[in-house]
Amino acid sequence: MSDLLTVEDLNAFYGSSQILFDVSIDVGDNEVIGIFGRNGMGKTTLLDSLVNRIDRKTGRVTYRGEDISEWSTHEIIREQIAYVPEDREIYPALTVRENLELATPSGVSDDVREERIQNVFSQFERLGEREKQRGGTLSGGEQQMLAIGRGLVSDPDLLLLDEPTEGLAPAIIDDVVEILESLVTGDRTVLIVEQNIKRMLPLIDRGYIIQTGEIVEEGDSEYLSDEEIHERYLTV
Amino acid sequence: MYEVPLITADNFVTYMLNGVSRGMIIFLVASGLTLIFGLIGLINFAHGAMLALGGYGTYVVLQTMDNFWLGLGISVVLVTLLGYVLERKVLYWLYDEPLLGFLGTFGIGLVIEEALAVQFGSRSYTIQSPIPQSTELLGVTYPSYRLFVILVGAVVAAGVGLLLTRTRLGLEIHATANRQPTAEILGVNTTRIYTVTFVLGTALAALAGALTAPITSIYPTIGLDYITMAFLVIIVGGMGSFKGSFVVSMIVGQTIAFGWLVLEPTYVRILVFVAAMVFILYKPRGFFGKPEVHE
Repeated sequence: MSDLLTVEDLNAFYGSSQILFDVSIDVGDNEVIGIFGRNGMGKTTLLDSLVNRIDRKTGRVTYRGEDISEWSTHEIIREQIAYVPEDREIYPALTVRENLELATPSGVSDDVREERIQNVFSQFERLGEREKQRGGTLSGGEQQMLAIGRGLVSDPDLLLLDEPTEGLAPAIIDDVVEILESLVTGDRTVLIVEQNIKRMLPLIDRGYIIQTGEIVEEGDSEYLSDEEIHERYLTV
Repeated sequence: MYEVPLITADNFVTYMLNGVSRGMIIFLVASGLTLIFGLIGLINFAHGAMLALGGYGTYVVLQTMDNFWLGLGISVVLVTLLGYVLERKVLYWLYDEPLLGFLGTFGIGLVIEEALAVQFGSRSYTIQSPIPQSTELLGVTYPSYRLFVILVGAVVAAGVGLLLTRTRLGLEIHATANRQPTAEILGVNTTRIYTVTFVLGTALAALAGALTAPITSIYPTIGLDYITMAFLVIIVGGMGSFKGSFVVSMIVGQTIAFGWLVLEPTYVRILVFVAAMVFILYKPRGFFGKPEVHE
């Protein structure tokens, strides 16, 4: 399997604080990779580093063989990478449709844009019903659907998902996991960051565990299902 | 005892149209200012100087080529280009430093005003109206050029309003203004959006300067006179609100036009500022404050 994304010796900083220490991961084409760890271990910083949303970093990030370490965020996103952030970051004053239109690449034709938006509405029917409703009036679960839908309208080759079940009610988590199941079965590469390893293990091919900014374990879903690993690195 | 003069129907229409044309000029200045503030958070004190340059540019071209419209076009284009260079080479680097941005634009404004004073002296110049005819409207004979200014203001208001609410660029401006890092992860080149918005704002100031030259006159500090009123408009209208700028510009234009019936111009300005201060005490976000910007 060829590598789609390679991260080598990544160190990331917010101000003078170092958050990541020599992190190296690789993501193959059509793989579903999980990054797990407790709160504050550097999971979100890792995703932010991939799209250059942090103050400073060293190391090398390669996408399709090209070094994208110094690219700006929008340049990276335009390489058909979609990022669904942890707190959703929906525009509250824009309607559901406008949020989706904004995320559709500007170069696509009106027909393709409409087709992609309709695809999202058929996948997330509740969003279709609330097409003209402002993003700020949606429930937490609906906002998460919109955030994921916004990632999908760019038809990404690589989907970065940051804690998609964070802060949601248990019943809504089931809905979101169902959505994720449908996403990972296609020919799409997905990198999921989560605390909830047990819900994600059935979805992933491989995964990494991150502890205080360092990768401490890696393996396939079977290896990562070991209770001892959960006890050591994930139990609060 | 102070007597309030009675006003005839004809005079009422004339004063009302004067208020609209003055309001449109204030709106052109304020809308550029509010676009730049709403998006970038930059209090652009150089905005008034861009208006002055628009006026002087029109005057210079008119003197050499004897064509007002050519002067208007050339000066707006040149001042817009200057805005582009300023944004790219100076102001872009100050966006994360609001105090430096404020001081920087203040300094740029002073330099431009002083340069105009050195080049043209402190006297004012009058430009003859390019449309000297009058038009019958609502029972009065009114200068056609002022009607033209009203028309231009209305077209600009509608055009910019449509651009902000009905186009992809408008969506990207909204996204960048409200949460720039999110716009970036949706693929929006926010650096380009900053530039486009600043340049558009500068073009509106230059257009206001060129259009106002035949109505009033031009002098090095003309920008300062307009920009104080424009700041009042964007504060009362709601910082960053294009709609608010339009509504308050119209109110201010009418207040000044009718205020002159009973008060000296200086007192009318004082009245406008005092009324604005009282209004802001009761409604600090202004008419159309945009709370979503701060969420």
